[in-house]
Amino acid sequence: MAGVFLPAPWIPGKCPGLIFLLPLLAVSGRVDAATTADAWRALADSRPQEALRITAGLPDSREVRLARALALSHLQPVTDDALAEAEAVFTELAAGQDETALEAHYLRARLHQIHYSRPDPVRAAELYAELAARQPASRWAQLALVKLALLQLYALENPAGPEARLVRAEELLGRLTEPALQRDLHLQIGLAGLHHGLKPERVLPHLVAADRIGDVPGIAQEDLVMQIAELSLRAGRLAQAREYFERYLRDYAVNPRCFTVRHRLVELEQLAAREGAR
Amino acid sequence: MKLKFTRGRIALVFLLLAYAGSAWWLLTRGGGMLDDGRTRISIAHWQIEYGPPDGLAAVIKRYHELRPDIEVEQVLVPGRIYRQWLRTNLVGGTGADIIEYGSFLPGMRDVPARYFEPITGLMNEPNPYNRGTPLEGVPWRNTFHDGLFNEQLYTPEIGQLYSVTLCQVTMRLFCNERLLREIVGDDPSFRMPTTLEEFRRLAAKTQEFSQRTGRTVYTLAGAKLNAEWLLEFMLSATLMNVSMELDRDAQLALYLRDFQMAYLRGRWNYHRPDVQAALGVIRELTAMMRPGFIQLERDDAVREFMNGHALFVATGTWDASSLIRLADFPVGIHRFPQPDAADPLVGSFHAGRAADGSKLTGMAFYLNKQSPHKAAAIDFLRYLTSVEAGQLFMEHSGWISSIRETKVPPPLAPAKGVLDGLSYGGGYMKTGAESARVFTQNLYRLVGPQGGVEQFVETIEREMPGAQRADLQLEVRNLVEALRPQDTGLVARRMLGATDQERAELLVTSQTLAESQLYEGLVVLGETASQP
Repeated sequence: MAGVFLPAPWIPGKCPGLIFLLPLLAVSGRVDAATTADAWRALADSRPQEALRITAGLPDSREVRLARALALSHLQPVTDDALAEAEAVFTELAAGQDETALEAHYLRARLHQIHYSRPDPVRAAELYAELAARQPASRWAQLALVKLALLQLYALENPAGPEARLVRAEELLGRLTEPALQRDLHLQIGLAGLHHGLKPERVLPHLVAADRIGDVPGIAQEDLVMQIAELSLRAGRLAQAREYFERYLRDYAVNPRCFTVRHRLVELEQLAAREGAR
Repeated sequence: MKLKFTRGRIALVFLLLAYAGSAWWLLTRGGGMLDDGRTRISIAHWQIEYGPPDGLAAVIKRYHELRPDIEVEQVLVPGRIYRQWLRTNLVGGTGADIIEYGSFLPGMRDVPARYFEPITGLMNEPNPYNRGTPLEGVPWRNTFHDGLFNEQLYTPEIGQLYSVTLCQVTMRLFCNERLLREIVGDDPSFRMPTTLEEFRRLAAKTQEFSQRTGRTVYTLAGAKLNAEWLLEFMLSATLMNVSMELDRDAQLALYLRDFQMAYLRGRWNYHRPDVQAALGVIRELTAMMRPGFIQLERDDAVREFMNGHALFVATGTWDASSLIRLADFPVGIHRFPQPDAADPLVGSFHAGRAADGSKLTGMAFYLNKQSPHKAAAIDFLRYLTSVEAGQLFMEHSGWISSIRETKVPPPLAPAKGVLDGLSYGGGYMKTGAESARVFTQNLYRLVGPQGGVEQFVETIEREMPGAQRADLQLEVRNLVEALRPQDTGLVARRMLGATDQERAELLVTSQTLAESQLYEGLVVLGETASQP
């Protein structure tokens, strides 16, 4: 963006006001009229103060109100009062019928799940369930199902017990239509099963399903391949264990765990030989 | 009306002229431009010891030849003030363009997501500065020895890469080779110990030498930090069997949170016979250091070694260049001896050789999100991590480069990482600040003539549950702090449309994975809330 410069000479005595105007005009020339996209960019870049400043100069709209409430919930230091103020806006917006309403509904649930100083998983679960029932195919409702499952797997008192928790989360799987979210939920169920001490046979199908959907990001994919390999070995599924250990060596050759993987492959072959001899 | 040019009015005009000129300058010239039109960028780090500043200076000098239009300034910040310096400058918008950061810096967990910019997309492209080398055409991320494993592991957003690394670090025993010859004489059968039992025999010879000659010579140079490094490795190496047992998640590796949660759930403790045996090894090793080593600093250990009062100093390869350059005797670099299945004390628990140099890379540099010259900063990061610059850095710093296809100088070769051992990681000494405090503050009960395994275990088992709990609580708090801003980022990126869509999708999965870690911690804290 170039600055704006006055073509006319500014002679003192003839137009002294221009002296004051020059820098101001230069400034105004540098900053285009801010848009809602600028506010979203500021929020994406963790600059909530700037987002608030931008939205203050924008005409009121539901989207602007959503951005402002989000900035408020992000502004440091975060306080419960500020969050309550943001929640009031989310609640009002959620009463609408558009995409903004669904986003606001989701964000309200998130406040109760993770933002307030005393999270309320029960309230968050209620809000997620309402959102999922409201427009089941929407992106935010689908995401709400994954978050609801996470609460069922770990945080809610009901269902109680590891197996019941997994079963309840598995029921939600059928309501997910987006493959990426199905993958995430399979992965969560598998990991929760491990955390709760369930047997490899119980969690393996979920981990394998997550892997088959694919595109697990970053280190999580590497861990997933390793987990399937090792759990398959523990469950006695030697062919599957071999396939995944070998894949690990091929895809992650520089990882220090490769030595351990080779060690495990030797043990696997010894086990296979013993089983073959039986 | 005729306007009079009084002195006051003339002064006002000049003042306004100056103001207008300044405003124009600020608005039309971005920060960091030099008078001659070159772009100036800065790179800040805390590695101010002997070596790295020289290595970086050599790289910068060569870069100026290649890119005379970009001026790179190296900003050296002492480690003791680094965190405050970093936070203040990032908040004030005055941070360097490229910044060293480590996930281990206490209280800084929020920094990467808030102030640094991911470079994931670029990492999948070849590094143009590798043209004409064996790494030509190789995606940038795969040009590092470890594929940036650590950077992926500690990324604030799973799936995103935020940093590149400069060096490879291993722990080694540095040996005063002249003193060693004096101790072992011309014994043709002598070979450098590789097992703990052989090391015990060398330690006995060293003690005998010291008594015979009246010279003060210890087997190991002693200082709190050097001892911790050695003991931490020895505990993990000796307790590989326990680590395998604790690997509930089948990852063939344990993160610190796994040790924390397993301890709180009663899956391991210091009463176990294998853990007590490993503590016995610690007693033996610390008896090879001078009394009172716990009170001493790292420099004291180096001085002890340099003055010929210690045969070995256990330290990281970051000390290699200073030790080799400053010692008036030949310095050898050797791998740590390890217990084997025949070891009289811990052999019955032996589960395999432990990795003692995993090729993992470190000294990570991040791109400041607020940098006015991101393109120039990225260009320099690419050069900095090219084969040519990696070689230059290594030769001038004495630190092993993180970049594949660089040639390690012969004196440093033994310090290079070798993948020939199991690597489950370790958390038997500390999993956070509180557990570290409890272990270290009570170490005196374990070591020395008055110390003993039993009294150490008795005390530590009273204090450790609370400490592990505090560490897990902090881990949970840190996770929550990292997760909260992600909701804003996620919604904002979805609203920005196609350009940010991919990042938004990754963020969804990354956030859900991090939340499962959070809930695992909360579940364990809930289950064990009634513990003392």
